Amino acid sequence: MPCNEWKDQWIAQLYGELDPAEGQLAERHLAACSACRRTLEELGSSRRILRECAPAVPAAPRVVMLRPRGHWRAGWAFASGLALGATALVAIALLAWGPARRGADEPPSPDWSRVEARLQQIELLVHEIETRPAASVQETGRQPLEPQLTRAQFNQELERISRRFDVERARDLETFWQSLMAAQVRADTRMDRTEQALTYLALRQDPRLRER
Amino acid sequence: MQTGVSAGTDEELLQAVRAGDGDSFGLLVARWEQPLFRFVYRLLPRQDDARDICQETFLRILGKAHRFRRGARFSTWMYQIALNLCRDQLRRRRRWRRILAEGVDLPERPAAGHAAEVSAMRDPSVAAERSQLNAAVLRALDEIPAEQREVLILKEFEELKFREIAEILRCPESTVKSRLYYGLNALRGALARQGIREP
Repeated sequence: MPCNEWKDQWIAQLYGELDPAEGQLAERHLAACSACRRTLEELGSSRRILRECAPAVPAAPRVVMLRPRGHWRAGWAFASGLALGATALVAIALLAWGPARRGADEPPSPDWSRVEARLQQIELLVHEIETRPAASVQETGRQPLEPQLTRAQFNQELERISRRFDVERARDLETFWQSLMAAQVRADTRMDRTEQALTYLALRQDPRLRER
Repeated sequence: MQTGVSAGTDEELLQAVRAGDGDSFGLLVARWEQPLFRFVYRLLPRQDDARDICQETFLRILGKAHRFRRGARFSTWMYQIALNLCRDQLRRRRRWRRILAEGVDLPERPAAGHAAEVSAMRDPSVAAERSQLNAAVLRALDEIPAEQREVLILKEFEELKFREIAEILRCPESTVKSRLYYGLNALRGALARQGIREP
């Protein structure tokens, strides 16, 4: 087989996916062909540089799915869920990536495990609200979730957060709020207020937001 | 709240999602959010874009769970959705480059986490050299054809088998190997133009 037809085999050999029979043929060819030996070495070199010198990937933000109620199919609920989900992700990303922007006089790092645990609780609550919206306290053992958030309260929180974090994060939060407002135009008001409250709670549980 | 959902295969969880089980979807997200973000970030690589595309991928999976074919592999479908979204995003970026008449739009600098790791090295010159190498690799990856870059990332970083990559890209295995071969060569050339060679 001419050298230029061996490239598939060299790639398979490079990644350890050459079957034994092909491997023997390849070894025989390599023993007799310096050009192919050089080709294989160059491929290996490119691989090594790529693996060793590619930049690390940052930690992934936690995906909190604030799902719309009821059904799973596309439509207005999906559209609002998309907006809410994307903006919730922005909010969660803010929580996750805060420490990189800190200065010497900023609050200490929060206990992220507590924030994570709270987010898990919120996600389960959303699921519960979706599937059993009319459940009583006796049935669920929980108090029904009352929307807590008003625009004035959110503005207050936003202002407080912007004093503690840098301008870009405060802007992200404002974008997040505006997206929620945009979704509310299309979505069910009750659902949206609850989702806002839940997202607000997620932010609220961040120890960095507590008054000192 | 007791969810009553036991961990199963991806395909089993997706079948449960099709039946209306939201907790199973949460399990799928928890299982795949990290690998998916890693893959998307390597393709783009911008944190905000990667974040948005991961979110959109999961939302599309949720919205189209009813279309998932029995017998198919969930991860293949997930990668296909994410890859198409990444391609769309890259096309949008190229349109904006033309509109704004900018030069090559380099990806953002290596992530804050990596910078922290680098800065922890005792020798600043080592950290600086490492940072330059990272940037050089990113530039080189940006130079090679998109189809070769996709295969490189799927193989080198996601460590998928040739068969799996072929399923994702809907092409023969020989095409995958061919793109990988030419991609590695192109990468070597792109790095060499920046003065990066393995000693």
